[in-house]
Amino acid sequence: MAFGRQDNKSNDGADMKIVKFTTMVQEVDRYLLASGGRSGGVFIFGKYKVYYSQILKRYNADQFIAVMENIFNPGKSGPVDLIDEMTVIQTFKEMKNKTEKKYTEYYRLIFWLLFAAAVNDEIYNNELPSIADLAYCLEFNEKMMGDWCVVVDYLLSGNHLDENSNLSLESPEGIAFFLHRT
Amino acid sequence: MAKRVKVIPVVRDKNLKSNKGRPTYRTLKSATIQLNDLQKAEAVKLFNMMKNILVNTVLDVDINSKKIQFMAERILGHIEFDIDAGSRPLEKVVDASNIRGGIQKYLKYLS
Repeated sequence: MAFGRQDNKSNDGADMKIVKFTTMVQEVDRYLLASGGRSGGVFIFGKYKVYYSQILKRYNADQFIAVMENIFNPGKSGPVDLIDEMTVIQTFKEMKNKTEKKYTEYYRLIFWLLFAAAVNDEIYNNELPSIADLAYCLEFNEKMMGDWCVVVDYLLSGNHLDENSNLSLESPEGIAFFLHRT
Repeated sequence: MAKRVKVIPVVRDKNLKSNKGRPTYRTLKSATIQLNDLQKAEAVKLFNMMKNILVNTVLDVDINSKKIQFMAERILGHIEFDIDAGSRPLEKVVDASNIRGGIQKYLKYLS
């Protein structure tokens, strides 16, 4: 009986961690969306969403990755769609007509991919080269990549992200995206 | 005006592991060629084509290494393409950061 109570306590603790993690991810994403002038919602990302969805789906045995999948890809239980070559070419055509809002989506995508890599070692070990390739295609430079990692580390250290966060960011893109300052 | 460029097409090879055990890159072929202005304009188009190949790889579409090699060879001799100058420094920045295993830090914060 006593063992059972301890077990329940332990489960409650694990559940509470999941709840806190879920809230943190939702709040951070809502804040990041605000930098692109959007009020909230699921990813728009364009065609890159498929890549992100694949990552989350492939590693969703990890409970924290499963939480992220549920937030960013709610109700998607079927197989993830594949992208054909023409779709990729179309994506690059879209990239030529860049707008600030699209940049925000690219920044957000790389941020959550790095965050997922920090949460799950398998993603880090297996997918980091792909994430770096994608960041390169989306015109990230080394300073930006460093800033994105600083913010991932900042959040996972239990800090709250807002305009007044005590972050030393080096890139103008990072300052605008994470601190909403121009 | 002609310009010498070194052509280094590389692909990510899942069978080739880095020191840290992660998949890394291998060079397919390399060559040094001369380009005139017209060829350089063409090279930009071909560079974009190579980027598409790269993104296909990134997106994990069913594209095998033979196809990548075939496409890389088609553009060989026309463009400058060196991933080492692009994404690998970004990867190194991430490796140098503290994000690996970050969830442990978060769980410690919660407990």
